[in-house]
Amino acid sequence: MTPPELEPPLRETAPGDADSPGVFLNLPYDDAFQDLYLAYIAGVCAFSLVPKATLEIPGSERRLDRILGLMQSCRYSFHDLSRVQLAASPPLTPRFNMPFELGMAVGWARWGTSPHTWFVFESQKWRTLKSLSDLGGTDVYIHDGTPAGLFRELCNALVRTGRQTTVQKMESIYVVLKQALPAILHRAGAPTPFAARVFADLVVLARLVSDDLL
Amino acid sequence: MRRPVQIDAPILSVDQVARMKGVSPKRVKELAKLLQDLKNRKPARRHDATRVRTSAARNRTRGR
Repeated sequence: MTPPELEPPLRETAPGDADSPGVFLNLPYDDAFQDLYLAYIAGVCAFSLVPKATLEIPGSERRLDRILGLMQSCRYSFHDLSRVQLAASPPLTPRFNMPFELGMAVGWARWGTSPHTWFVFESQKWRTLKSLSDLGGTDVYIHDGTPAGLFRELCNALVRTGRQTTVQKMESIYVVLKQALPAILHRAGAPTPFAARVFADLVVLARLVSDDLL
Repeated sequence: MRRPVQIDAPILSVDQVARMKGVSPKRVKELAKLLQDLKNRKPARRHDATRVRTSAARNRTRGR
């Protein structure tokens, strides 16, 4: 049952909506990536965009269909290919999810019914030429595996007239998210920030900070 | 390196973002309070360290 204080949910941007402020975040969900995960949320919200991720999609629908639906509802997508190493646990296997979802975004941008712009991020320069040589000629944003590097690259990738953001603003949002994370995790009873409820809280908090810094 | 992409998407309010994410107005208020608490949090460690040094300096003076 819907709690009484909840208003009807805002219409999710329909697939193909060119005015969507959504940004599809294609990121690895592991503890080593936690700082960059928070940094992506901070950076995207600093641009007054709305991060979306596969971890927030519910339901019994086929996972691939849900990912496609989510991606199509976003005007932009960020794909982080910095986790290309083999998984530590046997069997030793690379993770194909992120390059696969990048491929879906490239397909949507090319043949979809609405504009879609995708961006690729990496921690090491030139590595994508080896791991995904089909991207030759594509600008890959190298964040050096640090939040500061990511903020720098986001400013290289995006610009918004009227409400331009700065690296300092992104850092301020990031610091607040990092400080607030234990309380948010405690309330959600979640061991990691890679949970739907925690993600939603982080996004709303980041927007509160962003507006507070105006 | 290509030029930055111009963002043309509209700017949603916090309430709109919260509704999109299924976060209740009550929870938005809690998060706003959490933000306020973090902003009001004292930089305790540095402050205490200063006090310890001040007190030690005072005691040294008394001992002489």
